[in-house]
Amino acid sequence: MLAFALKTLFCDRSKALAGSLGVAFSLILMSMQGGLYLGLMKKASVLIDYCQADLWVGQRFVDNVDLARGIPEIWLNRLRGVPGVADVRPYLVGKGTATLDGGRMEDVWIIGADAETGAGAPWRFAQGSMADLRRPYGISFDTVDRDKLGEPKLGEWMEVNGVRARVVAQTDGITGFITMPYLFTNYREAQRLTRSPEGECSYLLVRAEPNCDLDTLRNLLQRRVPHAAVFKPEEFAARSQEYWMKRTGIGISFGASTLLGLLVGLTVVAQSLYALALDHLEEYAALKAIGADDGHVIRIIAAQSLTIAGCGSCLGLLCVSAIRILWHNPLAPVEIPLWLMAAAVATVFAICLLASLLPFWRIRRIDPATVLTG
Amino acid sequence: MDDVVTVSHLCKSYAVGATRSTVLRDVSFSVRRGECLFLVGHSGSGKTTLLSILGCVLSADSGDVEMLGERVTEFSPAEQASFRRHRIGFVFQRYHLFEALNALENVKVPLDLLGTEPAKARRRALELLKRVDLADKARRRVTQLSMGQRQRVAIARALAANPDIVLADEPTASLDKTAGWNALETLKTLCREEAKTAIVVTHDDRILPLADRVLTLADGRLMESHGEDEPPAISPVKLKSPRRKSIADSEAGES
Repeated sequence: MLAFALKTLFCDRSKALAGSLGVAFSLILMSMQGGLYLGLMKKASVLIDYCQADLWVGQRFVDNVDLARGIPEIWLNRLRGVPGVADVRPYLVGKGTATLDGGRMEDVWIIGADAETGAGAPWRFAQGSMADLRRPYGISFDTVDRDKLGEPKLGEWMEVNGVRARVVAQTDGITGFITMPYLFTNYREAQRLTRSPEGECSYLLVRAEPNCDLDTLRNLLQRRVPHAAVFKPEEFAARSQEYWMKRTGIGISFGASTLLGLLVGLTVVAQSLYALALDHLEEYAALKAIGADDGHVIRIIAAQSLTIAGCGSCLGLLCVSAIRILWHNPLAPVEIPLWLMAAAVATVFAICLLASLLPFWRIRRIDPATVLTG
Repeated sequence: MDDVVTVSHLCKSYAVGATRSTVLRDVSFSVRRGECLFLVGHSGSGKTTLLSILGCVLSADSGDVEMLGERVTEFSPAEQASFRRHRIGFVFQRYHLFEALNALENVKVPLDLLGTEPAKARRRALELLKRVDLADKARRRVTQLSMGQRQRVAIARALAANPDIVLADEPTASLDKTAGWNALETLKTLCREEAKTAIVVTHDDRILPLADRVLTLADGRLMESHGEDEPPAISPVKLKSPRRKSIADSEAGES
């Protein structure tokens, strides 16, 4: 019955095309919404994802890597003695206000990376390097924040929290969830700029010995600093993402628009298949008269529906692949991993099967006796 | 010969507004295996309704129909569909071929419904197309065929699944005299060769000589039965068979 299903479908190319476009639209919308959501979520944990630390030690109630709270820097001495620890470095994430020309002010994050090892340092530079950030007063700004910060140039001075700092490097596409500019510097300079209390840092970044079991090490560290929280990077990243997801309701808004895309796809495919069924009611009546039962009919419609899903998915995947290649915007990154594409394809296939219930319902009502009435 | 169809006291009526219109009134007859039975009568006489009940696409109000040893009047819709699929072949007045498919694929449809292995189904469909003289048109879409050719594709399709009974509803209604005769002759020949029973509904007097027996319906009642020993009361002129032209000749005459 495959020949009947496919030839009947493709003999009316406009309906097949309309259905396929509906599927493609649905798939693109789902992938883009999912990709934007993942991209935004990735921004919420970007400092963790690109840091080389094996474990993060922070304040017990810290929820988000950007909204850090102070912990005693001295704890690093407690941690360095734990078996399995290769190195521990302090890391500072603080807030500041940059004063720009004309008295305009811009809130910024000040990130203090370890000058010696570079732990927590920027990972993508447009100009300069970590070596420049080791210099006294040296800070970086990011390409995407150029306008916000009044188009600073390398070598210029900037005032942050009333303290002077010199722009020595430019990072490339490093931005956080709420898009406040990240100004990277070395740890000591960050303490000066944020006016942090002496001996207080935001996190301790732990590097483990090779082949060390991280779960075991985490438990050991937790016992050594019971008033702190010790996270594996992926756990802390998930915690940071969850914070923004719950606080902003972003998951609901992306979910709603994705659902809308699905409904549009469902409606278009159902409408196309239904119109196709209406055009061929006499043929379905004849088919039933010569012995086709509900099982045959549902298989025919399912084959048509899955064909539309296949064609639409191919078209949609081509568009999504093009978008992945062409879309470069650090402020609104689109992260479309393969699993997301696979999930979107699986969903549109399921939607198409669901859509086939509408024409099936109509064909089921056809009386095969009509073909004998002349 | 044994009876393959036994109809007993069959009645059928339809609701027409607030009243009911009786279409079949106490109809009883039987059909023998391999017989070619014609049901004739004027429009509205009930012959198509009778064929629909025999074809298991319509239920009777009362009475019994036993076909091939099974009481089809007691079948559920699923059993009716299964019976049609396995035991009955249909030739419709307007062919009801599948326009998106070619001739071969149309003939294969009943075999596909039975789940026949594709290669076997293809062989059977080709063989039948050859027997209706359409082997060279097997790959043509049915919309590219003449009316007579389409009816022969429909005949081949009706026989594809090797049914015991072939039901034909006004099979010559859309054909001219010669093409109609040829189509019915083809159907009868194939049914005889494959030992099928054929029940043909028609009001076309020209093809009556091809019948083994003719039953006449009028106002829902079975009026008369004419067997081989009992010719129907139709004028000799009407019974005269047309000159058997070649199929190519008859199709050339169609437009």
